[in-house]
Amino acid sequence: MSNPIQATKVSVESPVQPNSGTAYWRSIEQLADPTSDASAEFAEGASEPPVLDDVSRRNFLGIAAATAAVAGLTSCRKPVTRILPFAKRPEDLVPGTPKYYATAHARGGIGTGILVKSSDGRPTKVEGNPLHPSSLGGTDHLMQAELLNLYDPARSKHPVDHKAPKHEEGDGHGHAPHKDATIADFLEFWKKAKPAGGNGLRILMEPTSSPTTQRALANLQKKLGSAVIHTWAPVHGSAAVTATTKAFGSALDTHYDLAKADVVVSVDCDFQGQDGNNVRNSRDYASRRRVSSETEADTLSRLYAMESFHSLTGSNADHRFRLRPSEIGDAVMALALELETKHGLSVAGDYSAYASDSVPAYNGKEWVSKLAKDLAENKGKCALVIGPRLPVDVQVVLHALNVALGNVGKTVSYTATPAGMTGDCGKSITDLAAAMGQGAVKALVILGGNPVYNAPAELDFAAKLAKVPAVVHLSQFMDETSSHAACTWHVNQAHELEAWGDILAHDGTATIVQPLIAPLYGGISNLEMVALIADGVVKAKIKERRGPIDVDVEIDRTGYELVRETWKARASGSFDTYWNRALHDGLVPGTKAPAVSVSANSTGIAAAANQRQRGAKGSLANLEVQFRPSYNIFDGRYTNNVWLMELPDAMTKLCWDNAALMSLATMTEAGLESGDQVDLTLGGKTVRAPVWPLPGHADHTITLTLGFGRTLGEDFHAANGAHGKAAGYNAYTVRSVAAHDNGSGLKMSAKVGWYELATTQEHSTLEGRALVRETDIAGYKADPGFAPALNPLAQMEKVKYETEEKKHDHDGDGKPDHKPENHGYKPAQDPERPHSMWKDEDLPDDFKDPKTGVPYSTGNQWGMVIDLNTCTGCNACVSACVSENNISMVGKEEITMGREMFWNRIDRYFGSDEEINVKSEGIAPKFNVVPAAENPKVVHQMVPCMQCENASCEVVCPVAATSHSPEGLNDMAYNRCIGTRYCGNNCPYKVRRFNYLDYKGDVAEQTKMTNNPDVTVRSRGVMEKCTYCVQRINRGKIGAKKHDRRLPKDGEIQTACEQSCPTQAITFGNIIDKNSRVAKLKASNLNYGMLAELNMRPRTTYLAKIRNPNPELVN
Amino acid sequence: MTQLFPKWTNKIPAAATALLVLGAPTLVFLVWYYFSPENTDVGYAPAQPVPYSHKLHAGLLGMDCRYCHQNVERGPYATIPSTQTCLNCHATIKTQSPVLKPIQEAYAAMMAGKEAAPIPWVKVHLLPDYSYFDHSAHAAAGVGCESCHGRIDQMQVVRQVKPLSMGWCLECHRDPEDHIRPVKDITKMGYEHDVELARKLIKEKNINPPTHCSACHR
Repeated sequence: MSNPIQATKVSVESPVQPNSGTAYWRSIEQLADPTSDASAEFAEGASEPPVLDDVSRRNFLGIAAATAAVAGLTSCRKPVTRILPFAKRPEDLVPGTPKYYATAHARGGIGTGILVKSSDGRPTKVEGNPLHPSSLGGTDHLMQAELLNLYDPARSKHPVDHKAPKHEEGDGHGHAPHKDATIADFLEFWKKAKPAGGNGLRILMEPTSSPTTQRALANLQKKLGSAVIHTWAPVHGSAAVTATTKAFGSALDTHYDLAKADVVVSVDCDFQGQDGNNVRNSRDYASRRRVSSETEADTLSRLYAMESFHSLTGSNADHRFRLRPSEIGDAVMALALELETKHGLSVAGDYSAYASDSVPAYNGKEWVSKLAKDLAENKGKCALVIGPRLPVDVQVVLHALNVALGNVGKTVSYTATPAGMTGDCGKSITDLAAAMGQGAVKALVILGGNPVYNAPAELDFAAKLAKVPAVVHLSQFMDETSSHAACTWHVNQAHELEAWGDILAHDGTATIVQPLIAPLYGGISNLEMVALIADGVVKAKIKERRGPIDVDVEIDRTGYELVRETWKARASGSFDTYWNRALHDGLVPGTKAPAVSVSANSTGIAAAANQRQRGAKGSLANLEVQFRPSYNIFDGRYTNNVWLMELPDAMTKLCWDNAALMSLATMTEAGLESGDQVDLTLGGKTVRAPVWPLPGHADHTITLTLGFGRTLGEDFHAANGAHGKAAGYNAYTVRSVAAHDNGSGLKMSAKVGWYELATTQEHSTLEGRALVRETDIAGYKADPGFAPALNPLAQMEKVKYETEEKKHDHDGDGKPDHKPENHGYKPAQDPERPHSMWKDEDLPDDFKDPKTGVPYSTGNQWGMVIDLNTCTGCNACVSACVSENNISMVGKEEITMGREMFWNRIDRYFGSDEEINVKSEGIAPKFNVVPAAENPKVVHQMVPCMQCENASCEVVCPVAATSHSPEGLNDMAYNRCIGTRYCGNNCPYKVRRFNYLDYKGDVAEQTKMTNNPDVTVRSRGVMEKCTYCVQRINRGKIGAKKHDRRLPKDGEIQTACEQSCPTQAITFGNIIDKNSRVAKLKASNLNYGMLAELNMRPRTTYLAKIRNPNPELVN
Repeated sequence: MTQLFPKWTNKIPAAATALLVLGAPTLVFLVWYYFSPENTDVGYAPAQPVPYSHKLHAGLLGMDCRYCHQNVERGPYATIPSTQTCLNCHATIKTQSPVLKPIQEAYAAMMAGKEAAPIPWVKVHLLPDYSYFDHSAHAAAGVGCESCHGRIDQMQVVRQVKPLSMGWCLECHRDPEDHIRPVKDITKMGYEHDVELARKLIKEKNINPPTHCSACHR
């Protein structure tokens, strides 16, 4: 800790927080030189006009004149608008009023319950299902963006027969033209191509827990007895299944109840970000990190993280141990040794080779023994969260430790892995590739996935595909596999919001997946494809009501009937009631899997522990590598999703590209700088990638993110316009079955080029003021009012008061003889509501709206509190805002000019002890950048519009396009805005966004269907900003009025960000209702306003962050 | 030397000034009046695909507005009725009338189990896309249909009678007492307005129409 006087010496711009001596920074550049231009308010070129070719002054005037003339003409005639009511109105449909349907989003074969908003028949927003155990109302950024995939104009629109002659009108010999192939054509083909008895038929699909798909597969194997089913997904949980089989003798899923855990150790598991049951785990974890008073501080849980990559979970940990992938295993073994020898736990296996001091130190300290002590003191109240990328032997030992610590049955539980999820993906695809290579595969049906792009590199899957006579790919896109020369048929796949199905949640709870819209392009689901290749089309007779009469119609057998058949067999009581209840709630009652009681298989555990080899020493010549799915586009399935491509990565804040991530020390050692391209060689395969430093990353380790570097068919990019161009590198080209998650022996070349990466991490930096405030539990108890006291005005007042006290020390004993107040000194007011510079304009307590004169003490007064304790920085709120408020995506080039349009952003600050950083002081201070970037702490801060009561943006608008509502909202009337951008300049929070170009003008018709009909689509030249989702406020108010209630109930109106937040870190409501959640939080002593010293009176305030470090590990 | 300009030209500056003084306000007035919705929009009465007469149905037959515009109290749109609603009566009444041909065609299609085409009604009351109006909020407050749509029961062809401009909206939002009536009377045409009752209702129901931007624009 340093004192405030020292801190101010560094530089006036250095963001040092006086109470903790922490300097905050966003990027390596800013760390190296806090005064650099990199953190300027507006990026260079932020206001450059778009580059137009060949536009001279004369040209411009000519176009302008013509425009004016034509514009005059159009206003002469009133446009004729038609209303097309239904001929036959669907029951209960009220146009303009959305409906919500419960369904599920599947990822990795497992479902999370969602509610999808249907606006007049088209899905427009995804919300979490509050009843579903994996969601509890929260979502993540991927679920929000799934909607855009549905409307992707690049989706495949019809089946393609690659072997058909490609004549536009057909070839006159009965061959269908290339464009118009249908499912019926495919069936014709399949009748001939189907191997008799399934001999030589192979199915390749991603693992799925769907009971109906499993039933359909069983049916297929009955019909075509010799067919073999393979599973492959680039991100799979096979290692976890193998580990539980070794540790307990059967395939089990592991569940954590983090709400019950006092000590949580994440072992390379990003349970708050991208691994497994992230939404539910985040919620449970956050329930133990919520604090608004000193007494609550004692209930905080403690989070440790061991990892190589700096993940979201690591960034929120109280202690984060930076280890190479192999060292994580060493540390786990050392922990086992420590628990065995010092704390009397019995764990099978020999760990004597792993002394606790042989593991890399943490801030210069041995830490394993302290962690072991903390765990031993919390037996049955701690949890070791096991990462899916860990080697099997390490996972086995961790299971054994959870058993030994008495956590099983308390914080850790097990259920049987559902059918379909138990296979080993790596082995399965290796077997398939071998069979293909031998020519044993006569027909291969690939259901979803994209193996040509993402199969392990050494299998040479694409080349072996050529040896298969009939290859059928069911896919939503003409992707690498579908457009591969060896692919015989491509069949277009239905999106999960277009098809019937079912899926199991993490805890086994089943959800019926119901479609929100008929397939846009007539695709079929995996399930229907399985039925199709097994049975051909099966006609079914049903009665359907047509007008006033019932008619018999013949229909194709669809997913709907297949799913109903599955559940009819399992239903109890009236099936219709059962079915309707399941659809309505989004879960099938009574399907939660029972917990399995486990007993450790000591021989298996000992074998795993004993055969483990200690990792070699890391060096530049022997780099370790970790493969992770991209935080935004996952395994590549969201490559074409601009909402996710443009979303800044949670930790690196990179958009549109991926980079080879490493520590600054490793980068410096290799003589590289950000953006330098290098060749990375692993197992004889090479990939070229730009490098990027990630503070807190393990040394001599490189993280490669999957999902980028697609080489797609023409349709894919063309339909996506400028958006799809940024590509990144393809990490799958160096990924093998053995080095699937982690590997070693990676060789990195010297610099071979440079690549521009777009990042938002330095956009809108806030000039080093105390914007994030934090302390630890001890600091909080010692000074409960620390957060508001960090307001510079409060500090000035404190100094002033002390000076005043000295004046009244007449006898010179160092103590004032009487209080200065008694002699006319006015003590400091609330620093959040300071004196005005103009004395007689001091704002009274019942501050009135300057324009309307309505006092801010009646009716609804909207406000928001964002809790820095529970905000994990996961980006769900940013994605939800994009979906709710029709926010434009601008593309990589515009991002580099600082023109992103996100209404809210997550500022990610790294913080390092200031003493480490400063090498020399003076006019040109020098900084020790590398050590400061080694183990920084992180604060994530969501920044929406503050809805200032005394807003600086409003007073500068020349046309009153932005003005205040009597409910405290900072309104923005787009149709009034003339685009002077004065308001954006005058906003100290930099939350106003300007439409430099007509970003929405050239989007495809399908993409327009994602738009929320309740929010105006903004055009070029208009300023826009967060409105606290005023459309939701109005809907809530009207709803309340209609029911004769004066004010909406607390919690009835939720902003989109609040609703999506998996940890409930955002609270919105009426601040003058003292019983509302938001008012209670605002009364907390942790509540502070960002830049409140500017007298803006922000309605959005923050709760300062309280950390819970282990006292033995604190310096 | 002959004069370059004849003598009458001396009058030009005076005439120009007079023209400017009189002409400019006239021009402003003409633009203000003729380019305003009062002039451009009021009276818009397009021909409809079926010459439906509100005068007959709502006036003579006394049908309630909500029989057809059934969502007026439930959602933002009052909604134009589905063809099925017409068929509730016209399946048996006037089945041979040539003006009802689109409805008869729809009926035939439905009976044959085919998809019936919607009737392409022409929208009369056209609000800009950036203003969000909600019928149900106004109905719940007790604003009569008549206040904005006029005496529909006397119209053979529906026409716009109010300008639907922002200034016109604000007139009532600033001072609603001329338009509030008991909710049970909202569809009553020719309602005799009772200002005292309106004031009482405004107070009782705390009717406080918003006049800030985000009330309608978002």
